Amino acid sequence: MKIYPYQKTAKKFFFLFNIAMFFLCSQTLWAAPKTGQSKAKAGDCAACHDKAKILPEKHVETKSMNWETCKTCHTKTKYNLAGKLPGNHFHQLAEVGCTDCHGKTATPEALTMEQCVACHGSTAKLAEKTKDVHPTNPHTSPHYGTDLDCNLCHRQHGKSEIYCVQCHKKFNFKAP
Amino acid sequence: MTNPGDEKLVQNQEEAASKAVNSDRRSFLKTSLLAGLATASGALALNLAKPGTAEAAGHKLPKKWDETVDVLVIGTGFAGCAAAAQAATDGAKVLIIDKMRTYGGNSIINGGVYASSGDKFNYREKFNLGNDSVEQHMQDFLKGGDFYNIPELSKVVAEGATDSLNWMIDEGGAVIRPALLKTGGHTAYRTHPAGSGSVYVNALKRISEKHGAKYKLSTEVTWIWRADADPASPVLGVAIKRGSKKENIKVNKGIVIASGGFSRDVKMRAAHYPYLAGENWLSTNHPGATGEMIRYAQAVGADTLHMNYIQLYPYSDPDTGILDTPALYPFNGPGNGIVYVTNKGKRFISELARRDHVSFAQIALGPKGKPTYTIFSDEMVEKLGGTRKEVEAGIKHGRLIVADTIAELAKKVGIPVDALVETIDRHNKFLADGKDLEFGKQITKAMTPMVTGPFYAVAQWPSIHHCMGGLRINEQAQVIDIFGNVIPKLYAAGEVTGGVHGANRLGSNAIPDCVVFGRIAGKNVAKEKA
Repeated sequence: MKIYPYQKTAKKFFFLFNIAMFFLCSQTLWAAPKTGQSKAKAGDCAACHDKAKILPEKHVETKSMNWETCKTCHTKTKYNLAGKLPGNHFHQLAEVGCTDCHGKTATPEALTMEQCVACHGSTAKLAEKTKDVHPTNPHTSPHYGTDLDCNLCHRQHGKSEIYCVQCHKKFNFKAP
Repeated sequence: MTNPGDEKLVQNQEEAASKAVNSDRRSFLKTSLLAGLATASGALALNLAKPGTAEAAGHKLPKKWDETVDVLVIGTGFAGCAAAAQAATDGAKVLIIDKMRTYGGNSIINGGVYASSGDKFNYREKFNLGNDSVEQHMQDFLKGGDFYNIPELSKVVAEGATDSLNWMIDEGGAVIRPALLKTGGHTAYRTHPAGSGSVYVNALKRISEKHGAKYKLSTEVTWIWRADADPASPVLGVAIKRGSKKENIKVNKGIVIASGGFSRDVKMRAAHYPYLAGENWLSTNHPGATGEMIRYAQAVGADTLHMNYIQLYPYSDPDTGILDTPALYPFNGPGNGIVYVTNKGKRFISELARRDHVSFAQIALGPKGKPTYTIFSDEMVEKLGGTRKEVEAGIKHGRLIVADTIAELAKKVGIPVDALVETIDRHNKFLADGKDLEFGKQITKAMTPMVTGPFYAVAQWPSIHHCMGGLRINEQAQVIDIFGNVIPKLYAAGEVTGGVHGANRLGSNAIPDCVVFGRIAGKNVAKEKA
């Protein structure tokens, strides 16, 4: 699989996003977890997904893993995980839990983009880092500059998508 | 010649007829209303939708409202943002909503060309590009629309264009490019380029937010509330859907519908212009460009017109149908000497022809004629309102093909070399002689012959772009009902309305239409009594 330079940046990006969506998601999820998310635990699929088959058949046991250990197999060039997991999983694995973004509350709310940027840095800087990404820089546009909400592409509680592709069919990269 | 007595008689007859219609209608509505009350408790909302459809099901007026605002604006494109900006400036509490997850609708993916006979920088005089006037702009409006336009509406736009452009520059920080273009169907250099419609949307949004307008996205209107169709009966509010939440918003002063056209509404296209039916047509529009707001307005009595006039943009990306930056150059460049050619290397129409003519000239070439090309030279880039950065990006994306000579360009694109070289040479001669012997294009001194490279080619093909028809409004942007009465407190502006452009909109007349009428709607709705 071809790995694009922006995916390097994306790796850092994953961490922040994780948390936001854990609580929010419920229906319409892609591999929606069956049990309550309060038990959410990095690497322990069954904590949320119960007995549902989540990982490929011969995948090693992940229960005690964190993002660093995932990376021993999943590199940028091999078994790249970009676009394979909702963003909150990456956040969880990087030890950024639900409450780190949503706060301790019974009624967690959707995050604003400011909260993403607080950890991940400004989108202008991000756009500079991804300027050579093929087929185009995903973090700036003639329409919105660098102001577009991260969550339009980098979904935390659902499958990430390329928002621009709804018109720009040729922008076929993967969103982590 | 008629004498005054005859006129009076005619007037009396008209009044009598109008009274009879009103009285019939009222009694019909009263009967319907009573019938409704007999079967249901609580007041019924006006409902002209087809019985049995989801839109007609169980519409009882809300007993309580979840939110109350002075002014509700529906749609966050040019017209909506302009209405919000003006109404908020005039002191109204404004909520502006959009069903999409991003603001700007089609406007923020628009090419940013704005027709105005003047501007605060006096570019036309500065660049020595000839004469123009409001009257000349107005005449082009009408001729370009085959005189189907409601002239009073076109006039409002031609007259208001310059003031609204300057307002966006002065109040909103809009930055337009130092160029002035002559484009298809316009008889003067009056098209102001800005690179992207986002320049204007963001300027309008800044003005509106400075004055306290609140934006809510992912908020979809599902009904307009009006008790009955009595001419004195105002719209009361709307039902909305936000995620799984359903709420009712009450308006004190009124509603401005600025929800855009219906180019992506396959069903409506089929209903009004069967030639454009089906999913296979590509479009320059975003997926939210559907016509439900028109139907909701019709369901409370609004009249529509010109629904069958739907425009194709002749220069879209042939693969995707979108109007990306390279797709703007063919529209922007005729006044600077660009040339349109078939894939056989021949010209096929005057480059200053209107969009509908260019589109159908291409379609007439047949499927094998796809795509056609615009050829231009490096010297023209800034003159046609482009930038080096855009050209580089166009080459990177494979949308612009570049070569040092016309022959090499033809080879790279796959056009017969001799034919293209001959066509460009011949066109250069037409420019030198001041006469287009092939298509009678009006030659100007601003047109540059293609002698010095590098040269560029961009592929083009028509895709669905703009709906000329929509809700019927008057010069005050008030929505008119099917009996010719104003629907109190209901305003509309921009592509959702009809009549401004007639049968065919001239390119770069849309933004002034949206901004001028958006402001009028905003100004008038802010003046309504709460």
